[in-house]
Amino acid sequence: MRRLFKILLPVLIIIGWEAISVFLIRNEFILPRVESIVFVLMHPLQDILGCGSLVKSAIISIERVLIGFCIATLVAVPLGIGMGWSEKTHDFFYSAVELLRPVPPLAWVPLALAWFKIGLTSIVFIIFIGAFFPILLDTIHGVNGIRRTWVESAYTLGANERLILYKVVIPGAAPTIWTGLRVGFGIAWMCVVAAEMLPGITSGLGYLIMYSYNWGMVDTIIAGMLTIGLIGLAMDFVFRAVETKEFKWRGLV
Amino acid sequence: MRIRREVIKFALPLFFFSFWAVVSLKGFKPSLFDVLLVLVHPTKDIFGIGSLVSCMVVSLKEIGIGYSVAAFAGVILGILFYYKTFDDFFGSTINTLRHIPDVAWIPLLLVWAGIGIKSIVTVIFLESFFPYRDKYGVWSEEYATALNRIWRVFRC
Repeated sequence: MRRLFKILLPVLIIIGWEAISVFLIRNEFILPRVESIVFVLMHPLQDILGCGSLVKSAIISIERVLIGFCIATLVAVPLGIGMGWSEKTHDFFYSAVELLRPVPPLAWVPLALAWFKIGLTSIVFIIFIGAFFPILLDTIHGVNGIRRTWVESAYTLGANERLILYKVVIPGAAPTIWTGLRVGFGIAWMCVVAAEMLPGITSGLGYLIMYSYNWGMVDTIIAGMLTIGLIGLAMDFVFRAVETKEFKWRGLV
Repeated sequence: MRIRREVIKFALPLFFFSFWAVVSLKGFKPSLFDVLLVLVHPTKDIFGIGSLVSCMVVSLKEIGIGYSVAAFAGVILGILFYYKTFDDFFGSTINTLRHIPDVAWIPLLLVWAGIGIKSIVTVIFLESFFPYRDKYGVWSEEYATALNRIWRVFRC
């Protein structure tokens, strides 16, 4: 009964959408019928307006996100551990981080285009900026949050600083770092869609929905949006599943 | 010691801006001096689209409207999520919509609301709404768990 109640709103929205589309709006260019959207979603391998299929566009977008996200992780996690662990490293990078952090990733777009021109590099740069700061801040927070008693106990047992870093600090901060990675990936996904809407880009899900807008294909826009949302949801699910499985101990300490 | 720490804190930005100044003198674009010129004349018109200040006022106005509506709706909905029935009814839909990036709404909003303040405010609303709902939703869940524990202790 509860499960049925949970899907009641989506069902009502679909019925309401169809009714408004058929009886009220009667214009496919403003509000397409549900079946038109479902048709696009049910044929994910079909080419859309010569700019590739839904699946092909999704693969291109995911590839771009992965490149930007991996670079951001490789830079932000070691830097965050350094800033959280060493006061000097923290002081050295602190002002620069605080200066750049409030600038939204999309505000970097004109500068990225000026520096790297239109192409993969500028897209990856925007994704990098989007993912970098959440990962960095959560890593610093995770390392700072390590209990002093853990570190002091390790010192008492004869561990040196390097061993403490590898055996106490990094494993202890891992759950918070993972949360940062999850948040960072969500922002990276948002950035790729925005970056693909830039002029000159000719592939990816962002491009597909913007191109469909230019041709007045609202059903494809909505199908593209749903695909973007579903991929985001799936990625978030994977991150959460790993979090629940690997870092269950967080709630116990 | 304290002064030394402050110096270390500003060393990287100072190095960055000094480097930028040097390369600007050698013709690098964007030049640091051009950027500073724009910043020290915030009321000067830029390419006929208004000054820095006037653009900022327009942006703040749009943020003000979108953010106020989102904060109001987000807090109310977030608190209402304390009720299990409400959570069951709206939860799945809101959770699915939350994963669609705000920028992905832009083409659809341009079709539905046209180019103008309505689309801009709606994007700002979407950007601000979900963090609010999430925050208060989590707060409500934690509050509910705490209440359940108290009830259990007192066998209510």
